[in-house]
Amino acid sequence: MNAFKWLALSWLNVIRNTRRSLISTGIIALGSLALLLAAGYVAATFEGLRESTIQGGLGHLQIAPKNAFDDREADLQGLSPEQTADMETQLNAMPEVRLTTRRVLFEGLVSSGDITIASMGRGVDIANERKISVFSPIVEGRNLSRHDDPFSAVLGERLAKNLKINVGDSVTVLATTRYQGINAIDVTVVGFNRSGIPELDERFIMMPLEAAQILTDSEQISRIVVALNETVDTDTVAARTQTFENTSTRSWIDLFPFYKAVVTLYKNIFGVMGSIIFVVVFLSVSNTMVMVIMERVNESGTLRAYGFSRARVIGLFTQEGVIMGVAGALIGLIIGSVLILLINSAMIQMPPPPGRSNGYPLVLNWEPLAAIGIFISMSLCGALAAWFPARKMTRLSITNALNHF
Amino acid sequence: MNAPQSNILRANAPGTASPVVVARNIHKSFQQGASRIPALSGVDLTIEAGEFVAICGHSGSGKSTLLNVIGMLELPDDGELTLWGNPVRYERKKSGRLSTGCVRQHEQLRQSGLGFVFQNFNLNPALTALENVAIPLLLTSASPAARHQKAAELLEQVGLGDRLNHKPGELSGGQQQRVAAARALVTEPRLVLADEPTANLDSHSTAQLVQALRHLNQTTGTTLLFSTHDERLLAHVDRQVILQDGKLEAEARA
Repeated sequence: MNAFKWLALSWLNVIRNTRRSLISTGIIALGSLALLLAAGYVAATFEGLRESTIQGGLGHLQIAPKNAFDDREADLQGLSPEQTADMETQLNAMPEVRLTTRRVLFEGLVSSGDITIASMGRGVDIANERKISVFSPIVEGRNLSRHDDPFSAVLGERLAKNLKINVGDSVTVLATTRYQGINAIDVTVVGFNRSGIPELDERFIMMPLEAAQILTDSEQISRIVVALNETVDTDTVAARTQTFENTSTRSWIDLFPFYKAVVTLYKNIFGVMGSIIFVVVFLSVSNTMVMVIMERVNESGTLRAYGFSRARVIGLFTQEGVIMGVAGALIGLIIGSVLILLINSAMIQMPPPPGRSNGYPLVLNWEPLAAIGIFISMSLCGALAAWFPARKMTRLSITNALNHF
Repeated sequence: MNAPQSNILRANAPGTASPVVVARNIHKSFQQGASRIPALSGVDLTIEAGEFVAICGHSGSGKSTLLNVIGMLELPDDGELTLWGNPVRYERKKSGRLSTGCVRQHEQLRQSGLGFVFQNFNLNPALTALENVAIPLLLTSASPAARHQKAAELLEQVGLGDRLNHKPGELSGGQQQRVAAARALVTEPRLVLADEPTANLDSHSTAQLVQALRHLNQTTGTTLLFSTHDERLLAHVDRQVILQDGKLEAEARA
């Protein structure tokens, strides 16, 4: 009750001084809005990069023979069909797992006529692979089908271009077998795909699992790729798969360290940007508050003459700053939230980011933690912007303050 | 209305015989460039309870400075001040600033025993007359309703009962000064200090203000001490104290 009467006086001063209150509140609202949009953009960027990486063929987890991720010799050994089937049974029993798929990986050469290009090959379980690699669209021809001849393939768009082939042409694929020999098969190209990573599109060839096993002369499986229902469960499932004998497990973030680098870079960029917005808002509000408070030096002198302590006067002015900070932050957050809805529904297309060849729709996330942080920091901004000049103002002697016009 | 009473004030309840103000050998000077200009040079002054006293003198004679020292808005360089029996303390810290205890004492004495009327009214332009008058009551434990009732009563007494919800900008200079007078009296202080209260008023407003102040002095018994060189005011006072060059030159009773 006692605090309420002081708050009531500050509230009266805020609502009755419409012009100056609107300016300060407006600046804080604008800053809150900008910070909410920036935070939403950053969060959406991180989420987009993460999910496109995972669903671009990486999966949430990959299980390989022990040490295969670090040792090429170990990688050539592969997982036996029995071991693979056993692990798949265990994985598919986990509620967090959406699906699993098998892959055979190989490196070799792709030839067409006089042109031969080094390639990175992938033998896939056609049905499940299409559910995992949703972000590798076919740009010409069609994707692999279970009804195709096993000796068919999809090539990276740039690889096909460099080989100067069209959909329907045949190419020869050479690779080392599990026993260090050389083997070659002819495959019919049914389509070209685009991963979004130009370097990969220059090397990539994908064929049915059976064809890859014939090429490598082995029934072994190189990887079990695991897709989860929720990315957040990655570590939980990874902890369980670590117990599988003679295998190594890597999560998507281990397989794609670029993500961490991008997140660090973006966090730094947006951290600096957020700090600049905060400083600009703080300085603008401070500037307004200094003008406002200097107009009211006389008022502070009167209050002190009547026995209000210096701390009480500073408190009253600071409360006005808090009221404007809270109001501005709330207004900014509400307008920002509406803008996020509008922007997301407008589906604005953004240009391709560095290292990618296709654009993406502009999406902004609504981040509750960011909203709480913005609300607190902007309220604090209003309080500090008022506290500093009020503190300085009350250092004047009462008589000087009373005669200040 | 329950005004907060410090221990000092409770020890000297109204009705005691001690004078409201006893100032002894008050000195005050101001630094101006390289030299110090004396404003008060050994002023002795005693004001009894219920008096209506004018401090007169030419511009620069030290009237405002004396009022500011009595109101503890300025600190004297030397001398002793006793307000309704309480010696005012002036201990300083090593930094030269007034000690926290002294600041507290001055605040408590001003809260509970003093009211001020300023030459330029010093009203908050954002607040109504009623809200302006009620401000000093925020330092008391009075409820909002009690604060507003008390403020309305005071405004009624100074003839502004129909202007309660007008802001200062909507009032004439005389009306604003009467609002300031009501504010000065709302805590029922022992002493009201008014520094040139009619300086910015026309004859009609001056007459109204003087009438209001005199009425309040007589009905509430509040002591009024004001500085002026306005001849129109002097006819109404109990006593005139004349200052010249910072010294008490003469006293005259009505």
